[in-house]
Order: sequence, then C-alpha cells, then structure tokens
Amino acid sequence: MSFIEVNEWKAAKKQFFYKLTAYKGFFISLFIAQFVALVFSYGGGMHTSISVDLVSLTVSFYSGDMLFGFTLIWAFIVAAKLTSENYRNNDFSFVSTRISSNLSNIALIATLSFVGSVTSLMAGVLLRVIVYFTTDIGMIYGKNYLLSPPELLTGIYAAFLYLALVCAAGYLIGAVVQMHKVLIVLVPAVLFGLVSYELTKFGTIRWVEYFTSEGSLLMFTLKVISAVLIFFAGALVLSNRLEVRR
Amino acid sequence: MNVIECSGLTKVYGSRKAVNDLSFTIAENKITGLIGRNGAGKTTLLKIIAGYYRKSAGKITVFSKNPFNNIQVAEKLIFVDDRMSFPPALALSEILSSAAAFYPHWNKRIADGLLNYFQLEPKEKHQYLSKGMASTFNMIIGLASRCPLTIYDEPTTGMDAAVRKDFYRALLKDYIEQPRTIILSSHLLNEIEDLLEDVLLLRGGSKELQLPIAELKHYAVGLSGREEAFAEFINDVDILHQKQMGNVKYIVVRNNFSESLQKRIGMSGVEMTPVATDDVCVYLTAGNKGGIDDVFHRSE
Repeated sequence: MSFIEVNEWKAAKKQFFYKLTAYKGFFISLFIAQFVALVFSYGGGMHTSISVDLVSLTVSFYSGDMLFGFTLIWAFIVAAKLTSENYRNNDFSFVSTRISSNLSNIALIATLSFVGSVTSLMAGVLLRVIVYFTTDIGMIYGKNYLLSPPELLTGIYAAFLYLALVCAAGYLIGAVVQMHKVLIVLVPAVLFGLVSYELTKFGTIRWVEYFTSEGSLLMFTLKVISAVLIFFAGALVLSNRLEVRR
Repeated sequence: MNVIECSGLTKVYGSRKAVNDLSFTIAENKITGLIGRNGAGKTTLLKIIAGYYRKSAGKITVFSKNPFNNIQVAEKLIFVDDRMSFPPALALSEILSSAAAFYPHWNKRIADGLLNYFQLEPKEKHQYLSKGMASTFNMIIGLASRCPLTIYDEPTTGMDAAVRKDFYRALLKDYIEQPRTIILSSHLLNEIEDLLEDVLLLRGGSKELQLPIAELKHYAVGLSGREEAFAEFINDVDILHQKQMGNVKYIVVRNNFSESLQKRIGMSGVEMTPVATDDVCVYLTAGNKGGIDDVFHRSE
C-alpha cells in the first residue's frame, strides 16, 4: 500500500500501544460479558427428567453458544465505538492522520478479536470443567465434550475470524453512521429491514449463511479475509476526508 | 525560512466565509499573536494549519506541505486548546508518558516540574479537572512537546491571573531555551504583548494587518482636545475611533504625522497620547467608529 507513508506506519504503531493502555476498559468489559455469559450458560442449562418406576433420568444440556454470542456482541459494539467522534478526537490530541488513526484501530481490533476468541473458547472449557465437578452423576455424554488440542486451536481460529468479521462490519457501520446524524437512525433501520426481509422471504439471512454454511476452513478463511478487507477499506475511505471537529 | 505560507486561503461554511482570501507568512522561530474578535476566523485558521480542517480554496503550506491529513506536518506540530481530549481511563501522569512517545523532543523534566508546580495530582483523571486546570495541563503538554510548530488556541481559558502570568513566563523561558515557531491566539493582547514578536490581526476572516509588535505600539495615536482645535489636522487622516466627552473630543488616528506636524499639534493645545495595542486592535476590528456608545446615543 504505497499511499501509506513510512511515518504513518510509525505513528500508527505508537497509537496502537497508546490505545492498548488507554482502552484497557475494552478488555475488562469483555471479561465481564464472558463471566455473565458463563453464569447464564451454567445456570440456564436445559434439564429434562423422565421417571419410569424406580428409575429416574435427568438429562441436562449445557452449551457454550451464549459465551460466543456475548463475545460477538461485545466485539461489534467495541468496533463501532472506536469510530465515534470522541475516540477519533483522542487520536488527534497527539500526532495522527486519518490513516494512522484507522491503522491503529485495525491493529487494536485484531488484538481484541484474538483475545476474545481465546478467552471465549477457554471459558467454554471452563464451563465443561465446572459441569464436570458440579454434576453429581458422572455420566457426561456429548460429541463436543472432549476437545482435543487441534480442535481447540481450530475453534479459536474460527472464532477469531468470526470476531474479526463482526468487528470489521461494526467498524464500517460506525464509520458510515459518523458521516451524518440522520444515518444513526437510518442505518439500523435499513439493516433491520434487510434482516426481516431475508427471514420472511428465505427463512434465513443469506449473507450470514454465506459465511456460516461454509464447510471448508480454507474457503471460510478466504471469504472472511476478503470481507474484512473490503469493510476496513470502506471505513478508511469514508473517514479519510473527515475533518477533526473538536 | 517560512514555516507557514498562505495565499488566498478561504474556508466556507454554508454561505459564510470563516476565512476569506487570507494571505500571510509566518517565519521560523517567531512568536506570533493571532488576534481578532469572536468569529474573526482565528480557530478556523489554526485548525486548517493543524491539518484538522480542509481548506475550501487558496493555498496553504506548513513546512512546505499541504497540512490536511499530512503525517509529515502532523509530526512537527502540536495544537493546544481547551478541547484537547484524552482517553478517560488515563491518569495525568500516564497521558504525559504517552505524549512522550509521540514527540521526539519531549522534555520530561519540564513536564514533571510544571505538573508539580501547578499542583496537579499525577493520579487525577483529565475529565475531572476544572476548566482552568485542564487548560494548565494542556499547556504543559504544549510546552513539553517542544514541537517545531506549537499552536495555542486561547490557551488561557479558565486560568486565573496568577496561572496566566506563570504560563506566559514559562512559555518565554522555554522558548529561549529551545526556540521554535509559536502561534498564540488570544483576546488578551495586553497580557501577551511583551511575549510576542509579531501580531496577525484578523477581521471577518481576512487579514487586517500583520506587524511586528513594536510597530503596532506606534501604529495609532490618540488626540484629545476641543473639536475645532484639531479639525485642521485630521482632514486626510484615517480616523479609527472617536468619542465625545462633554466638549472634549477624543479621536484615534493612524500615526503618520510628520515631526513638524506633531509639533504644531502639540502647540495647538491638542494632547497626543499613545494608544495601547489591544485598543488599536479593537478599533481596527470594530464594525463602527463610535463603538458601543453609538448604539445608546442613536436616539438623541
């Protein structure tokens, strides 16, 4: 990318480390969200009981889906927040251009996605451990209960890609909304309309399924990376002409 | 070398021209005061220089480059005003150490010394500072960063008189230690005139004048006496301001009297007095020669 100067990369690097310390609150909010999700997942496990004569059977389902769901929501909000005026202005108190500001945000988002993917998978493992020690009957069945290290790593990798995708979408939507006040109302309305249209017409959201139904990890990676690049490039183009109004 | 060169610079907001066909240059390592009334375009101009705003027309170069969105310009300047924003999670000391990473000439000794001198608690959060204390803190960043171009936009907002005096002194001492180009916008020209080398006076987005402060001190002269006494002297001079006090009239005119004429004025019983620089600026930028008095006297 030749339109980015060497000094811009240097400034972005400084901004990235600045943001890591300045926005440590993002990490704290992630851990809180995951803790809440963990409590819900454990307390909200589905229980089914059957009793026949002297035999009674209770089946409990536990799922880590909520953990990852909460992490996705967190990722979207954080990414959108980074595009808001306050956060942009923080950059311009020190050395910054629009490009270095965006580059450092992208680096921060990648870091947050990585931490989010590792912690959400680890919290899933923690949930398994808690269930193991707190259920009095030792019969645990589940095709996903035991995770081999390669499975865990693949899970983290896929989670990272999903988080990056959601972050990039949040970042682009945030950048679009910053263009004009009307868009704050308009963009969510349009998105909501699109989602309900897809759901009523097709019973599914096709542009979500485009990613979720992909069976090959390689293809999934390519799809996500190209979407992320497009989203970030869009956000960069939109914000590159913005004036700093503080 | 000129740090800032600007010709025909215009910035339009809707139908209003905040900066209108402005041309000037600012030389390296000078302290320039940017003076003007509210809405004269000071902040807009400074933000264009800082690369925050895009110009609408004309030409501007800062360190020979268009400042908008330019990293090479951004690295060499700092823009200090009362709306500098910092992440709320950071304490003052953390903001200072972060700033040090961005500015290669950062002077930690001065930053820590000033923080201590102005009794700012290093663990305090920026958003809990009072207006004056926030301005003081921002000023510390401006001083310690030692940027080749340092811009202060109304830096003394909310500061009390004692802190303002200290600030001016600190600015001058630091400038002597490490000369650089400084632009200072202010309403309080009388407070900063001893600090300045040049004054750039804006009126309605345009340049009214740009002069060394020493020349501005002699730019105008006040005449007071009976109206008929100086009628003969003021035929072809530019009256900047006039005021009637009983039967004595006070007028301020451009000081381009020859020495002999000055003698004649002295002998005719008209008193000649110097005019303070901030008064000169007020008169030059007034919409009306009679000032606010005219509004009240119109019915008479």
